[in-house]
Amino acid sequence: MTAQPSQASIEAMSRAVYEQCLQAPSDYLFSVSELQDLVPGKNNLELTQKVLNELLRTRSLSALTRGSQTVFRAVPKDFAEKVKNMTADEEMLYGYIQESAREGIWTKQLKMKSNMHSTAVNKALKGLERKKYIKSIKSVNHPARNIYMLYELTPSIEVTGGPWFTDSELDKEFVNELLTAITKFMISKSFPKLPTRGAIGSFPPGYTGYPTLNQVYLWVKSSNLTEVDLAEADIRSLLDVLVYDGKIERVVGGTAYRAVRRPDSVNGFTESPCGRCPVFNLCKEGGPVSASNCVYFEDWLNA
Amino acid sequence: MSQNATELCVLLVKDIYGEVSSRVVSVLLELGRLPVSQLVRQLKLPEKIIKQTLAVLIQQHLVVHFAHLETGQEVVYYECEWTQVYELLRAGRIIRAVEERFGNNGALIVSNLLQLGHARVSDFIAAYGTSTKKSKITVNGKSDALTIEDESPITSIETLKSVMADMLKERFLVQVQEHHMHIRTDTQNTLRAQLISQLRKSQLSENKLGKEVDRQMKIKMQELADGDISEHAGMKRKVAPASKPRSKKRQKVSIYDLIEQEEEEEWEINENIVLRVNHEKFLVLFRNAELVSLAEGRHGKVSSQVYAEFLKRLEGKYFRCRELYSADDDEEEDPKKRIKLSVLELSKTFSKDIDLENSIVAAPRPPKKKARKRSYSDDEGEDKPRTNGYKKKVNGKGKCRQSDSEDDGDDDDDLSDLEELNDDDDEEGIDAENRKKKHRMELLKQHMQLLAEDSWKFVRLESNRGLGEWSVNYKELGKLMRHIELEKVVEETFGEMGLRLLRIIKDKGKLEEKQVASIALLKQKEIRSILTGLQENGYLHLQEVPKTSIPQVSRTYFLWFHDSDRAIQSLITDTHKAMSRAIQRTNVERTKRSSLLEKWERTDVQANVEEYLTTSEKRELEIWLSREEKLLCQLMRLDKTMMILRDF
Ligand code: SF4
Repeated sequence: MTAQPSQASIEAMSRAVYEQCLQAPSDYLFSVSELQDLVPGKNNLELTQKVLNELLRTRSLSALTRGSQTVFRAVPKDFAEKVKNMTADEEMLYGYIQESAREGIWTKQLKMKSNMHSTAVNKALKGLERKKYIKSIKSVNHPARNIYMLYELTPSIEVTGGPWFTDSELDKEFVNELLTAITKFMISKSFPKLPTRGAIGSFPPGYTGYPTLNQVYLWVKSSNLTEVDLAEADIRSLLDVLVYDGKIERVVGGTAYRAVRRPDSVNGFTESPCGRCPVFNLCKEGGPVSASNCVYFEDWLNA
Repeated sequence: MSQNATELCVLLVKDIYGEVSSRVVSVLLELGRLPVSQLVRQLKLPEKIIKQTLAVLIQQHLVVHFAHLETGQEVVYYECEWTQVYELLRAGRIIRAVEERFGNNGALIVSNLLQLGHARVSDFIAAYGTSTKKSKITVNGKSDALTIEDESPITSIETLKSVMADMLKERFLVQVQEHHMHIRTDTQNTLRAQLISQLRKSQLSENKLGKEVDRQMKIKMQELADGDISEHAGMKRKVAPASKPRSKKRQKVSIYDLIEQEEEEEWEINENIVLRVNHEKFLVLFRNAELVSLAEGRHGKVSSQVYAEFLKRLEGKYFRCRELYSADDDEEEDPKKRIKLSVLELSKTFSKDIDLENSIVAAPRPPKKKARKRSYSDDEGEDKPRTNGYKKKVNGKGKCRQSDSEDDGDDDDDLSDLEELNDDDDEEGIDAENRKKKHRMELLKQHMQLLAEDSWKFVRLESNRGLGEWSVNYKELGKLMRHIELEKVVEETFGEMGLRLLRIIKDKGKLEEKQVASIALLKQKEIRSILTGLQENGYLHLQEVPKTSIPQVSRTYFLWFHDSDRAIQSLITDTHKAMSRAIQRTNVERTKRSSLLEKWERTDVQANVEEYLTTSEKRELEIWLSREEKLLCQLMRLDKTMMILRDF
């Protein structure tokens, strides 16, 4: 009995094999013999051949090469659905874009990999974008590049630059608001009021009640300052900036922070007219500008 | 020495000693040391005038000299000591400092010495005895008038001499030594030559000889710089003690009495010595004052007062801000050599007028046990067991107090603390006075700890002896102060962003623009111009590191870095320039009104200003006076910045 299996039974078989393949991890690569095991009829090479062809035709499997061997990967269902709507070019690019995952891929690289003409690439990308299969994203590190990513993915932090970036632009206002709020919080925790004089005093030496990173983090979380999901590491970046601004310092062996009073930023140099003079380098006695004829001194003397 | 510093020095000399002196100084600063013959050629002035001018400048210590044997003939070279010239600016500051400490008499002595350059004590006293005319110290045309007023109570010669002796002892005045008048490099070379010829005899290897010479040179130069530091240097025994020795009975009762009497009565200043103002010691004073004001800004009045008292106690041990010959590093490496003082010591002389209460607030109730456990042991080894019973007790109290206050969470813990202290000794033995003393000591200690905890490290804990022994790391604090001045300038010029960038780069070493931006949470575009600006001012530098063997712009890392010394140097140069401009502008303003000012200075006009000057003249005069004051004040503020940048 070597009756030819009907096309219908081949299709049924391939569906069954495909379902089994989907049970494996999505990036699992099947060898031919593994697939052969899945096909009913015990190592029927001929049948396996037919089923495989069917699976490849319906794009349920995609063929790859590993070394000298041909291996297969199960294509997820929804993708298989999508692929039906794609042109061959689109499908190829889609594959590369998918590979790039949350990093996205630059159009130039797409051209190189696919070896396609740029008009063809652009056309295919347009098509994919229209079908909402992919989207164009902006990268902080390469703001000028055209980068594509699967529609349903969110770009990685390396690409977006983290919570501080909105559309790959650093959101200065957002950062500054947070910095100001945290500074206020730190000040409120660092300088106790003196009960008698109403003046500002100091905590005793060895005081450990200054806010730690975690405490600042929890405070920001509970404060309704922002909707953005900030991690503890993000708060640390903010605190680092405040340390650099000289507004806070690390205490208790670096585990906590406290606000410090900054010295006035004026000194003999900054408040003298020459200290803020735009033509300072040109100025010399007998030169085009000098102390005898300069307007900056006159203004300063009249101030 | 920069062009800008030269310009400033020449202006200063011109203002005070006139045109010819300034030209001599100018040539000496530009060409270095010169003999008279060269000066004559350069200046095209008669030799006699040049020699007279040199004599004046030498008397003022502005010019030093040294005789060299050249082809059998002695040729004297002259060199300008520009740092001394610069010190002319500080006359007013120095006089004020002395006045605060030694009163009018001190101010009188110093202002006269500043004017004279140096003087023999006997001459000074003789002049004082007869002098009734005004003596003025003039800085930049402005008289910091210090006059021997006729109506002021006449100070006795004895008082004057004892003030002088005090000032000598505290090194605000020093004896003039021969080498003060000589060119330093020549002194050094001569000394070295002597040492080498002496040591040659010892048959050391060339290498060893060199090292030995270096070693001894350091010591010798240090000796020269310090002068006579023996107990009674510059003093002599009084010939006839005024008072007879006390009765035997009294001596037995109180030995302290006797010792003090001896010290006071048997020594007086030697009238044969020649004195001058010791500028470097004043810088020690000014540096302390600056540190105190920094501490006040950070920790408030009370802590700064404690700091001031502490620094004052150490002051005697510091001869100058920066030691030239004995390496400061020795001191840093060897904690034993550090100059320290304990709270116990400090409390003995601590001014009772300083109110220590109400500055440190008790910690609020800690949220967790853990926090409490850690409190009070922040600094290394602070909680090590004490050996001395007494100290242990007091310190134990300190600990009690801490936890007490945490538990109470309110502020009358000061009271409970007092009661606590009394618990052990309920007998009347320890009275309120004693308890108060202990309490004060505890507070002193806490203020010292606050100063030590600050990231600026105002003091450093050395040991736990005497409630904690502390020292001051002036070298690091000097760096800190300089950096703060730089930061001020950066912040004023480039805003908060500039400050942030500078501090990031200083902290991290070398960084690419991209990295700087990501740490600073700023846009790369935004910081580029600031970084370039900082570079143009010499506060930042850029290093190019090619990624490939063939240098190519696109394949190069551009790394930003901060070189502290270069940055400060650049700021010093700019500050010198700003100072020159302030003086120049003063001169311009004066010249503009020269006829009015001449008129005003006439004695008949001075006698009746109302009548002789018209309304508009009076208004103009007022403008001049206020402008002059503003400019001078600015100059002094610039000098303050300069002190920090260059001298501390
Ligand atoms: S132009 Fe005027 S303000 Fe500018 S450096 Fe010269 S004197 Fe100073």
